[in-house]
Amino acid sequence: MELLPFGDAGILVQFEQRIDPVINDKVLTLAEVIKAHAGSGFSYTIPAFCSLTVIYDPLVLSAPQAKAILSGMIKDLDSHLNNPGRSLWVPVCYETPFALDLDDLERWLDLSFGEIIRLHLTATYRVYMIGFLPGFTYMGTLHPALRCRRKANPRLKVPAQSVGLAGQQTGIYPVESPGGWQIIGRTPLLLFKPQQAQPFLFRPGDQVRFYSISGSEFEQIEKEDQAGIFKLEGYD
Amino acid sequence: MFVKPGLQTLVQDGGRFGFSAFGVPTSGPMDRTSAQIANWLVGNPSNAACLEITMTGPKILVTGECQIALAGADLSATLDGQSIPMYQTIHVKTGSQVGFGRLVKGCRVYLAVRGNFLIPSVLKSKSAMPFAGENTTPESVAKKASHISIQVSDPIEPRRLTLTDSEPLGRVTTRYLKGPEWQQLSSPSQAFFSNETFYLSRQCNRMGYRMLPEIPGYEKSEELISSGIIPGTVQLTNAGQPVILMADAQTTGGYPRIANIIRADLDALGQLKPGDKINFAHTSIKAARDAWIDHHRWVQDHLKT
Repeated sequence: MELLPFGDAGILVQFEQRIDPVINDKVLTLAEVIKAHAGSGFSYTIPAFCSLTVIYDPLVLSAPQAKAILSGMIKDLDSHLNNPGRSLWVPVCYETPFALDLDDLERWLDLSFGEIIRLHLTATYRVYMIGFLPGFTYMGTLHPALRCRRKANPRLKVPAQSVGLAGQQTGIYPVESPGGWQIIGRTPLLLFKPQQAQPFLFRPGDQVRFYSISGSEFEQIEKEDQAGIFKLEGYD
Repeated sequence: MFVKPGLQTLVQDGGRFGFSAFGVPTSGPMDRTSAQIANWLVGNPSNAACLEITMTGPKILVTGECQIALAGADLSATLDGQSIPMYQTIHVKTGSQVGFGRLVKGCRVYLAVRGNFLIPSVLKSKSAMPFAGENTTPESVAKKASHISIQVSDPIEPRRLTLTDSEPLGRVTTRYLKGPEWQQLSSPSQAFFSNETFYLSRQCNRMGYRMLPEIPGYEKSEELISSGIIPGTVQLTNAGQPVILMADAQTTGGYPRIANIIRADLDALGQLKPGDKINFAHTSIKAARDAWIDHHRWVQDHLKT
């Protein structure tokens, strides 16, 4: 683990560079510890897979001071590691209008349509990081048989709520955006509700399992979710 | 009402903080000091919402009496066709039109109005939100015939600020600190970055500036696991093109972070436009902090309430 200077108001806490739930727990726990020290000169943090970017106020702290406080926090970290995540069951419709890349994937992965979906449904995924777009969830880890490259020519418009695959990860687009992930389905749930007290559906550290729904169930759940009456199992 | 919206006219306040774990950019003015000055000139809090106007200004019909002020780039502002000065409080009568002309200097001008922009906050900020689109903060993006309602406060005694040349605008040498992946550059590449004069390509916006030329002979190293990026971070694309991340930058990325521009020099970057030139000068973290403290002192001395 290293503390690297990152600009004149930041420190990059670089853990072992590996996508691993225990390392990610350390990232999220340290972020919580810093948040609990409000008023100590730290402004905000950016948790990622295996690093935490820590921004401080240089009018309050010098770089050596910020580094010393952080080092102290990190020393005690292992004694109170916790995962703030919840266990969520998320509906996904894998039917044709939504599964934009299933044909290509069948060929590349040499798996049937049914097998790809079955493998996607069997694993529990951890939300390692939210980034790239407001609410975009990077989840891992995919079954090795599903690992695939990003599209050579990214789509100019990936529809909101599309579920995609890239490398060893699966992810969900919160809003319509350009993107290169291989799209296999869509969730009827809004990932980003700007006017709500908890505007984002997912948090870093959440454990996610998908279940398959039909096109008509998709419409039903979408209506309920937009009306605010859909109850996501595991959501608090 | 916006008779014409201009090239890009956005509402910006102090920015959107507290959602960096959810991939939300911090946003806020590209030239924070100029926005603060404009707000001070009309007696608003320094982080109040104001308009950020880029290169080609809007035409605005003002319904109701108010005080306004302009700071930042010189876009040849007019009131009912008559030229108006920057850096001072201006009284505007109902039915007047605020317009803009030729871009004389800089890139972005801030227009503050005494009072409070009556538009909804999204994630605790009135700043236009990138990525999530115009659907999320539609009222923060000027469009033809769109309106912004303002709750006008009682007028203040007019204020004026005299800037000397050494102050915020027009600096082209920008100071940097070595980034976490600086060591991934070969020494000729490091030298090229430090010695070459770069210019802004046409692909420049509030998210970031793609710079030219590319660093010759850059060999991309192994892929990085996505990690945090902040305004001022300089990333290098696979082709060796430096990209300076700006106010609307995404929160994470996977390209090597070769440098960070120091805070005290970010405002000047916000006033550059495609074709403008930059030299990168290395500095120390101590000098960077001193520069920021000096800047803060300047703001406190000049923008007293």
